[in-house]
Amino acid sequence: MYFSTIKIWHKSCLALVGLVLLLVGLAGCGGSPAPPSSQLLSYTDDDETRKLITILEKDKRLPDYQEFHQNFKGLIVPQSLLLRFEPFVLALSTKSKIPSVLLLDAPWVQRYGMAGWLYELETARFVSRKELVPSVAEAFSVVLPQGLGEPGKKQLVAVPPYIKGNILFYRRDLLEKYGQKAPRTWEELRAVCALIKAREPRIKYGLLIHVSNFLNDFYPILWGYGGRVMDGEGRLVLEEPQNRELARQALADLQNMQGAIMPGPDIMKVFARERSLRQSFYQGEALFMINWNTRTHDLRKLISQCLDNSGGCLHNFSQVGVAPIPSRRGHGHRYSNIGSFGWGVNRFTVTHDRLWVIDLGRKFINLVTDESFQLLNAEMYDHVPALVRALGKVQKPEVLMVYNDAFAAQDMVLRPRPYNRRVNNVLEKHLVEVLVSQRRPEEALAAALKELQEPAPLE
Amino acid sequence: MPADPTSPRYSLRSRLLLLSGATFLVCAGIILMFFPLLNLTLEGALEGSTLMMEKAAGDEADTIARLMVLEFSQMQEIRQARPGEINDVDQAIMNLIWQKVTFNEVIKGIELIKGESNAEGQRLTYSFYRQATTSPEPVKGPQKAMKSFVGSEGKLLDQINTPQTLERDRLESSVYLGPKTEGQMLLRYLPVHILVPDEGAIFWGVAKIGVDISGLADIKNMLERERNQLRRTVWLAVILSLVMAGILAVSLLYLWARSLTEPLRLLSDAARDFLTGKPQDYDLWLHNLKRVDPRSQAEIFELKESLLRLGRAIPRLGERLFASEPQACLTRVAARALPAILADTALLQKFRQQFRERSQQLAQADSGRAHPSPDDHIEDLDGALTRLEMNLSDWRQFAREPEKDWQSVDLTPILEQAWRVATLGLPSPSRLAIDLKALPRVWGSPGYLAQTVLLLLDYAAGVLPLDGRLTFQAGPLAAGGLQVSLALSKPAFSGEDCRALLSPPRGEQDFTGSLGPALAAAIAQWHGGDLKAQPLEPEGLILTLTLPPPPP
Repeated sequence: MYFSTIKIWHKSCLALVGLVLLLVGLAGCGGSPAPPSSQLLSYTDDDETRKLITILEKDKRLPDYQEFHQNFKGLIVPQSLLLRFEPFVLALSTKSKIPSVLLLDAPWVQRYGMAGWLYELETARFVSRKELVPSVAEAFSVVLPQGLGEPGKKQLVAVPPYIKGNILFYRRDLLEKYGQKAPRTWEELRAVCALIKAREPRIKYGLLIHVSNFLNDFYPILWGYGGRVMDGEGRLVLEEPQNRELARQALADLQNMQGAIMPGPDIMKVFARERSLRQSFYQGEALFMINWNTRTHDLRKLISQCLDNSGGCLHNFSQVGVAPIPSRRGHGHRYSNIGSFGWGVNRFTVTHDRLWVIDLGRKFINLVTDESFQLLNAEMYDHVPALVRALGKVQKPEVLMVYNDAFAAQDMVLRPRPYNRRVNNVLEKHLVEVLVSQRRPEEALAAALKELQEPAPLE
Repeated sequence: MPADPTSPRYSLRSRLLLLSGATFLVCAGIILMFFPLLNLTLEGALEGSTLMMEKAAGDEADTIARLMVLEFSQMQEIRQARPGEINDVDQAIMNLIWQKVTFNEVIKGIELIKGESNAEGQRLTYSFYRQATTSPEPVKGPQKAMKSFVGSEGKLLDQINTPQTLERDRLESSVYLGPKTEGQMLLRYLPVHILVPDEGAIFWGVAKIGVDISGLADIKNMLERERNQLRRTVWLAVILSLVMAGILAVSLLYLWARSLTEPLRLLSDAARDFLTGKPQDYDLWLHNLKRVDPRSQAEIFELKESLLRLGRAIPRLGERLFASEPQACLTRVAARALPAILADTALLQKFRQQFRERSQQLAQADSGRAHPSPDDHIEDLDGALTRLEMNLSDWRQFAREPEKDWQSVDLTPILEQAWRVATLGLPSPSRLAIDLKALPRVWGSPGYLAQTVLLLLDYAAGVLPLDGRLTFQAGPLAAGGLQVSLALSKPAFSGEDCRALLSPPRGEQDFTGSLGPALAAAIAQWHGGDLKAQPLEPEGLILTLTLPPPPP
């Protein structure tokens, strides 16, 4: 009796202690954190992406794209501001959270990435480098500033939905007719030109390159000579004797091809007009042309509009072949100035209270670089997919030809032009005079370097 | 077991009160545990509010600084800023800074620091800080200076120049606060880019923008005060509640404990009187026991009934004991006296045999030979008969039903008879002494008084060793009444033995002694007298019976 009373008393005490602990525990739990007020991801809008998303959403009715506009808010950037002033520098340098996802030109990716403004994508599982064509993944990778990434290692900071770069277009029908292959070096190109141009009176020019935005074509030529304008850390290295000499040689070789292979200075100015190169190539006046790979779409469009080929214009796209831009004999690689835009994530938009941005950003990038998106892009605009698995499903022969014959070449390297606009502008201004004013290459280089060495804003 | 189990501190009431108090203290302690918890919650909530305000102020400072920088980015002339005398370009920049600081109360100051430095590490700087309104000095305008940075700010500028962005974490550890103290101004360092057509955003330098956060400091101070006030209020409320609850609980618990334990206390008091009360108070004790009210407590009721049953049985047992002890006493006395009586009987038988032989000799004698005289035998025979008669008479006196009616009694014959009966058969008559003086009469029951004396003598005869001496004395007292004393030279007695001798048997130990002295004491008390037992030095015992004089 006595012991049973003690047991009951002990049980009561234990129950009381348990109740107290429960109350203390409940009191310490607190409420759950309040849900975020709005989870709408802002991104830089562009016509091409908008059109493709609309098709995938409304025409193809893919379920993944049905809620696209509910989750993502497009930011239409004034073209006048975007092209001339590059306003994203102001936004990101001041840690603005808007826009969260940006569509950036390849050189911009380099600049923003090295400044530490872009989020590293592989660790956060936005995309795996292995899913991309290796040369493209390399072109959109940068060494992040100290504290933001693994020191000395390039990390993926943007994902392109397609591959764009300048390549060498050539008349496949004529080269096959004379038993020639696509040239790998400038010497081969000159030889092929000399052979065919003498036998085909319709061919007026052996090689056409751009006069406006000449530098876009000149960079892969210079790289093929082994020269560099800026190094991987954004420093100007053109003034170094070796690079200066290689640039001079490249310019001199181009200058020497004028008249016999390339248009002379007077005619060169004619090609400053927009679309003049593709028109001339379409009309059968040129044997080779350096242009963006996406010109296949334009050429096919021109060919489809041609009803009478009696004038010698192209009547079938099979007459066209593509190859990497030649390099100097003995150089191991051929280069393309990559012009792809890639989707990068604003690093300042990801904060500890905005981790949802990672999920939504991942979802967005998956949608705008998705396999179906890239296949549709290839179908509509001849854009070469950047995803390996999308490339395996491409049916369009023109796209496959560009990838297999140009971008997939073993010695092909995709490299972005220097991101420093001032350097590009100064070089463009002086170097193009070598072709249009017969200015001596060394003089043009000296003038450009002199202007670049003048006191100027730091960058 | 406590040293003194009857102490009030070990009572059930004390224990109940102690346990109640301890229980209340435990509960109060548990309740007080909630106060730190509440304090922490309060601290966390207010801390959260403060952090949110600081974050909001930080975001506001970021926004303001960003707006400033966006506006500076449109200022093309800043690209022409050069060290030297103040020119139109400098004036335009300084005017813009003056406007921004003067017309925006939230901006305390701006510094525009050109990223490009000269060989001495100096950077072109435009700066303007709004002074405190209490300062009597007029506010100076913006300054154009070549500022040489050393230490943390220089490192900070280098950091910003390199990645061209702002790193808050780096700022927190390396910020130079400038002419204002922290708390008055939140500093923001942002890179300044100039928008140049076709060239994009060109890095120019750094803008150091001080945002006024004195309002935030005021709000934080107010929150701190309110937090302290709330904490004090809650603490006071908790303490007051506990004090009031404590007073109420202790009062109620005291009353309840008192009410619950009152019947037990009364029963305990009544039971304790049994130990200390005298036999004549026994009826009063029983009466008090009957008066204890159990107040519907089953345990008290059962205890009371059990005690009452015992209480009713004890008088009857006492009466039986009282009645049987004199008989036992007589038996013991008889056992001692029997050899003497048998000796007298044997003497009579011897005389009968001698008388028979003498008759035969007389019948056969024919000559004048000498023979013992018959008178000698007759004297011996008379003596034996007398002793036998006296002993039997004494026996009859004590064996008959005692005279219970109270009357004036002369104790002298009773004492003599008792002495003879008790000492008959003792082995050493020479060590026995009796000294009876002329005694006054006393008032009482002759039979019980005789039993009293016999019980005392029987006890003394029983414990007296062979070499012991027994002295029986009686005499009048000067104040009236008489005193009977009985002294034994052996064995040795202690004071405790003497007290145990006169007290009824108690405790759990076996009782093997004589009840005689205790009964004698009870009879003496009944007659208004008393019986005392005292040890003698070096050995022995003296029993003193005192009886009062008869009432007038």
